[in-house]
Amino acid sequence: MKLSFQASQRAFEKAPRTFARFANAAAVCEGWYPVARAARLSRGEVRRVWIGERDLVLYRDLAGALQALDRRCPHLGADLAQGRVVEQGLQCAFHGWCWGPQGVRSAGSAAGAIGGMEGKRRIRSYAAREKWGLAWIWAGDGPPAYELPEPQPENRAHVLRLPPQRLACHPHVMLGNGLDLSHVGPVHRFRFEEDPALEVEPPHRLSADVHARFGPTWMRRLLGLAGRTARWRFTTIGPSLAWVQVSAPTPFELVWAGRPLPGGGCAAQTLFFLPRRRSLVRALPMMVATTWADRRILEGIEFTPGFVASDSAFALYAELLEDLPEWTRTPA
Amino acid sequence: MKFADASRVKQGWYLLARSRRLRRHQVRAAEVGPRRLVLYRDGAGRAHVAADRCPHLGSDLALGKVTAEGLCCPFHGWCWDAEGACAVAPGQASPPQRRLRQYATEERWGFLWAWLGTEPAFPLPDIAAETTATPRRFALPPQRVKAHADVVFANLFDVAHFAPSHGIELSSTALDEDAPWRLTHRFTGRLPRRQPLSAVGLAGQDLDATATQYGGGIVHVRVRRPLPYTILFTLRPDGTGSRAQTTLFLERRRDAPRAAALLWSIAADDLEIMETIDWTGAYAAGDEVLARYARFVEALPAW
Repeated sequence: MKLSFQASQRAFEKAPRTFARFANAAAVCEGWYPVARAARLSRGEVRRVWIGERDLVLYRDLAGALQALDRRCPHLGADLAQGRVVEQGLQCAFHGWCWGPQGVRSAGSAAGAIGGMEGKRRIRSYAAREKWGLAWIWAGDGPPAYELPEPQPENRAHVLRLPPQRLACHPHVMLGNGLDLSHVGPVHRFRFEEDPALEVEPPHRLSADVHARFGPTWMRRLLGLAGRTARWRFTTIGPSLAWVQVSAPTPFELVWAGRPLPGGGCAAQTLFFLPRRRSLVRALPMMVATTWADRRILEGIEFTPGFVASDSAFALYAELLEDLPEWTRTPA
Repeated sequence: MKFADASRVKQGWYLLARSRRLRRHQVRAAEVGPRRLVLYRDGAGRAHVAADRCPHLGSDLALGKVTAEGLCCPFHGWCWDAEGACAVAPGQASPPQRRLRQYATEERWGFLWAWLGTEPAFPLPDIAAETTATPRRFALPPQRVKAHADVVFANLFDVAHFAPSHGIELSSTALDEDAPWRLTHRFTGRLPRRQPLSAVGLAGQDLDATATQYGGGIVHVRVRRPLPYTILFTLRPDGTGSRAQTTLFLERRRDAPRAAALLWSIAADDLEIMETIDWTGAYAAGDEVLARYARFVEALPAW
């Protein structure tokens, strides 16, 4: 569904509502979450990783592929992060039960021969991917409902990952910020050249096409950006990803990913996709100059969804997330 | 038990800052117990106290700016006027009908005060006027006490500890209550012969004083004998303790050493007891005044 920002404001429903999943640290929506740097996990290594309040084990099997399982062994609940990677999968340190990549107890484990119970008990396993130097886990039951975004081939010439950052706000609030079109003016000093166009593609995507002019801040004067026009498409994908395709003043793409942290807050990853290495000279200051002001605000926010009509795009994002399935504790 | 409950802030006037620590156009945050407020001074010099969260999306207004329109949120530029209405909201056809909670404020004796609660139930008491027409005011440096205000203020109502803790033999005590906001305790007695009272010639003198608590944050002690002066104690809950500010109002400047010695001889005796006590509320015979004080503070309406 396509509509203009102004049309979405007219369609905004004033009825205040509360959200059970949007910006709620206790609920994790199904989606892809970056959990670790892939290079930090060598073959045979096991790592405990967090998504929200829940922890999993991530390991690299002997063939070099990433695998993710629940952290508790279904036998007596031992911590699999203390386990050992063997040919058949991950072996629990307690009784030597061995869990294969699909979560099935595999033959060949020490106790398996004694109990003869292969395949009777299962552990929850999760799809894991290694992309752009990060390890990603699909938090959810069943196969991934969507794939990670694919930037334009010409922009994929150089992929650059910024150091991970921590923010005190929920990832939904950080990612929804790009759809918060009414703060682009007052906080970031952009002037819209035309009404932004929104595109809603349920259940996972929501995009905003923006054509705006850089306001004259001192930083932009220094960078030669003041008064120039910018065009970007900001797309949120599921609960944890935002993809920015910038076409002017210099073409590049950005992927932001946010993972909720135990006890609140978010671990944010920023990935640059550049056609040429020297594009970074323009792209990085542009990104920093645009997001710098947000950081301070997002660090101090205690988010309440008090949306008004001019927050229509942000509110659409909240509605979309609210309808996503939640990552349940017990498989369906 | 509501007595000394750190999570329950009682209504009343609270001292939030020194006035000169809030310049024009400055915005800062102040913590009161488990809650947080934003203090700011407008271009005309008037100080305001408001809730610290923007009613729009909950951003921290302590990061905001003060403009001619009021306090402006850094996030979407919504400005909140002195009445708490939204005066400016960029991108909106008309400012939304949201309200920022504003608190009644008062600036007196060099401090910024706010009534924490709904409407002020009584004006900020004019303590100085009871002393003399032109009292000398001495503000002690602000202090942090690791004890709840109820425990500290209870000291002035705990008649049974005057003799063992302070060596003061009381001869009369009288309570007067104006429920639920004011409790007054007049007590007379004789000061002990010990330091530092002997050094300033107060040993063995008669004591006649009236302690009055107003709401949750203020106690003032009007001393008639051995010398006339007034002590204003204010405490503001702060996590595990309180922020304290003590101010003396004297008739003559030369009374200062004697007034300070009397205050010091009483306050220093049991600070350590107050900071380490785990209040049980097991009042015994002889604790009637203290028990009545406890009922008074527990009946004070919560913010």
